[in-house]
Amino acid sequence: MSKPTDLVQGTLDLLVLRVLSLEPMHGWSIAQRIRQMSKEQLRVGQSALYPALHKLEQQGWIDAEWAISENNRRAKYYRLTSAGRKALKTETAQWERLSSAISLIVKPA
Amino acid sequence: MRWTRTFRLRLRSLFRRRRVEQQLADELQYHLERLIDDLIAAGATPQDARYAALREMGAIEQRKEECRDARGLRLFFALGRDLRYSVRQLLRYPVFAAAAVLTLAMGIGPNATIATVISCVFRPLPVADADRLTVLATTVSANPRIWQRLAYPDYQDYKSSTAPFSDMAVWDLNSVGLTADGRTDRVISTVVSGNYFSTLHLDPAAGRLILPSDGELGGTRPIVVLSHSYWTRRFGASSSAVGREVRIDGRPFTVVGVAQEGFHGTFRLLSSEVYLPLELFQSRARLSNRDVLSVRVIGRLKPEFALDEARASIDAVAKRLERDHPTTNAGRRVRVYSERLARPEPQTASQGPALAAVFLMLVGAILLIACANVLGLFLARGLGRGREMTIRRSLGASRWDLVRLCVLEALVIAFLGASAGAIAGVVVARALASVAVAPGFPLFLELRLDWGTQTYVAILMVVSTLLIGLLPAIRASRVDPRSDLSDGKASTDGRQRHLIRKGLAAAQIAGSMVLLVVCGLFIRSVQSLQSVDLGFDATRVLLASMDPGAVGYDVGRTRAFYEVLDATVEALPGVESAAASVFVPFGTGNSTPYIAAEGQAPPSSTTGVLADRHLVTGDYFRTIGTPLLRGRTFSSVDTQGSAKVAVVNEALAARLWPGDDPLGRRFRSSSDPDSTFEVIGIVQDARYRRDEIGGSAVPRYFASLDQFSAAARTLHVRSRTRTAETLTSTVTETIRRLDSAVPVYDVYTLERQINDSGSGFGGAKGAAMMTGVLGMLALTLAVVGTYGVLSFTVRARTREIGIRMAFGLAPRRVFRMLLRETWNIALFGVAIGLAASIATGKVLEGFLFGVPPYDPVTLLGVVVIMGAVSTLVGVFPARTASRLNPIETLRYE
Repeated sequence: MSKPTDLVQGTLDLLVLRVLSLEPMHGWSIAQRIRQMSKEQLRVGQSALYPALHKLEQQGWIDAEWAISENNRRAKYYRLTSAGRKALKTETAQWERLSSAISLIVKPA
Repeated sequence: MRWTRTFRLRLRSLFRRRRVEQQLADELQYHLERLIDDLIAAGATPQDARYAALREMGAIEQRKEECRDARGLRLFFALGRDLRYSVRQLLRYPVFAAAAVLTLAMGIGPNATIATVISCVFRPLPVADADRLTVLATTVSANPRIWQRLAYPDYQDYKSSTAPFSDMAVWDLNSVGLTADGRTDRVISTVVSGNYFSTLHLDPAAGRLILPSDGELGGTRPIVVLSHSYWTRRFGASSSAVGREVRIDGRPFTVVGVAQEGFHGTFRLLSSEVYLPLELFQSRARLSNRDVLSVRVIGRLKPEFALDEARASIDAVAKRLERDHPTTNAGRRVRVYSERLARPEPQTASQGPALAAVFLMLVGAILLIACANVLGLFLARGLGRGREMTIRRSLGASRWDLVRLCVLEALVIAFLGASAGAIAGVVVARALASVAVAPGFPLFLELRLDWGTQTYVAILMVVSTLLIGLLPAIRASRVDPRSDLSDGKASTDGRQRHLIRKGLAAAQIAGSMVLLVVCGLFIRSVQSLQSVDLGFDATRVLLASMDPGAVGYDVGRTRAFYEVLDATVEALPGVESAAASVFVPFGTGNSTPYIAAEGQAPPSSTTGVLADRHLVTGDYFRTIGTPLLRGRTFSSVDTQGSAKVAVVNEALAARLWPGDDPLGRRFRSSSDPDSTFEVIGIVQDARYRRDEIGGSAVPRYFASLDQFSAAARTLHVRSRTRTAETLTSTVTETIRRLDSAVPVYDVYTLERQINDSGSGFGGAKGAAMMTGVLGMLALTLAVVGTYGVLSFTVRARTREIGIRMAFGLAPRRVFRMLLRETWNIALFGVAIGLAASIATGKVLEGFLFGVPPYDPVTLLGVVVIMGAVSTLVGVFPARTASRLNPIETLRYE
């Protein structure tokens, strides 16, 4: 089980952006969604998630507003901004380059 | 824009901090609740689920802090906290804070004063694209002098055949009498060409300005443009003033408009009140004479040309003119200056900025001394705070946190000190400007705390913050959190700490010494100026100037007026004699034509001898006390119709007729080309200008006011008593009784004219006074600083001294030991100060008179002062130490 700190630097940002590209959601469901999408392989703790969200918001890649959640409570919903969409594209491309490069070395010939 | 958004978010986090904090808490709370729900759904009891969730969440406060960090605001909040803390700290030690702020204000104040004055003198003209304006000035080869005027025909040639200038205009200053509503003011006027205002890109505030369509030289229609300030002061800014008639020098003129507010003419230091067509005030003959430097020229550069290109282009034309007009233009060149640097006159373009730099350096030294004092205070307090810093370190403050705290404290002090200093500095500058009334020169300085000065003070504030805060900060950052917090102290302090303190004291002594030496050099300059035999007797002479021309007197009425006046004044009790002259020794006005002995080529700038021309009445030499060596002075036989006569000085006689008897010889002058002067008398050489002092007298001739009339004259009245001032009211009254409409001005003694005016010794005297005040300020600061260091040293060494005394060191020897220490510091400071003083003196050499920059009297005097002061300062702490009771000091520990 990978702990988020073990994730390659900046990967968490990429995951958050990717998940938010599906629909606006709050912190809890972002964590849940990452778990589901990674088939329970990645578990993002709130200790890393919230600072990351605040940083992304400060950078202007995501936006936040308060709304009523599925269990009828007020929750902070994050949404991808257009800058965030652009960032997601470049980050994804970069990630693909990086992971394929690493695969080339790690996979036996 | 992303950064605007980021900025907005930051602002939101800053100013709606409570809300942001609340939201952060809510968000994490929501997460916690979902976690609990999840665990309950998985089968845990609510109690267990809550504990498990809280465990997983970890330290929520730490999470919040991380989120705040992510928003990049931690530093900001920490700064705010530190700032509040520093202010609280300073309030807890009000005496320390007040001393530090006051000391710094004393250091910044003089800087603000000097910066205000400099900024006022070199502020751009209030016109569009002022940086494109240039000033032209004439030079002649083999003569170091720079003339601020050009020959009008030269100007026309430069204007028509140089590409880099978009326009050039001519102007000059003139005093006129303006009569309106039965009252006559004597005002400074600028006589201008038609394109003067258009070259400057100025618009009228009311009516219209003098326009190119009025004529190249402003035209012959009697029109006048008022300055905005004069319009406001004299006519209450009434729009009906435009179009009305006023009298100027007795002639009717129509007010056509008002110049833009804030524009005071193109001569800095004077405020021009009215603008008149140049053509009405200068004769065509004079203007068309290529040999007469008749007009001041201001030029505007096209945006695409640099100053160097303009210079090259002007040079090319000058060379052509030299070929085309060899009799007048041989060796004549024209220099181009940036208008801002050529203030007040192009002659000072090379000196002004240098003098400004020297004064900024001197007041900078005062600031350094003040900073050293405040630093001393901070360091002394820092000792007491070592414990506090250690505790902070142990409790988790980073080195950087401590450094920030120290620098912030310094910043608070520096900010308060700089604000107080800047305000006080400008107030002092204004007071100085109102006190420094130069006789015969209505000095105009618009002193205000402008942007330039504010920026300069802000820079000084930052510099002082660093000077004051950095060393304590470095100290604080070196605190070892593991060090012993117990009170045990070494008996003696580190050597290095004392070295820094002593170094500071020595630097202060050195700095104040430089100022005192500069002051001394200026005092000695004034002394040597005043000790020079001027060749006339300035005591007991009262001057009174008047201008019947301002109310329209013609030549005949003028002569009659002065004849009656002369007789009436001479009949006054207490008056020994009276005479009139157009110019005053060491005054601003002068006339310097070229002369040539009869039989030589007609005098021109290339063939003649440059001479001073004076117009006086017959009693002038007796009144001013210049001995007539041979021949006679003017008398009633010399009238307008008779042959022109002159009295010459020895220098002129020796120059024109070396070895021959000049009496009865004749010469010609370029200022009166139609006359030939016969020499009827020879007077002893006298000094009428500053540049004659220390050198030889210039050739000078005196012509008769009966033969060459001038309306504006200065009456010289020799009193029978030592105090010529007592005649002031009687003389003024006498003139008023003759005609109360005639403006009378500049009534003061000849001694004042010489000692206080800008063309006399006023500059050196002013500099001596100013550096004297600065020097005293610096010395006071240095004394306080040195005293502080010494008494601190004694306090820090109490235990050591106690032990020494317990072992039998006599109090007398303790006293001597400490006094010697003071002397060591002083000696070190004086040595550095001597070197710095001589270097500064070298820079100022051009401003000194008859004093070498290493003047031994000054240096010795200052060294003695410094020795005496440092001894005095050292005696008290040394005496305190020698009276210590060794038992008590040891028990105290």
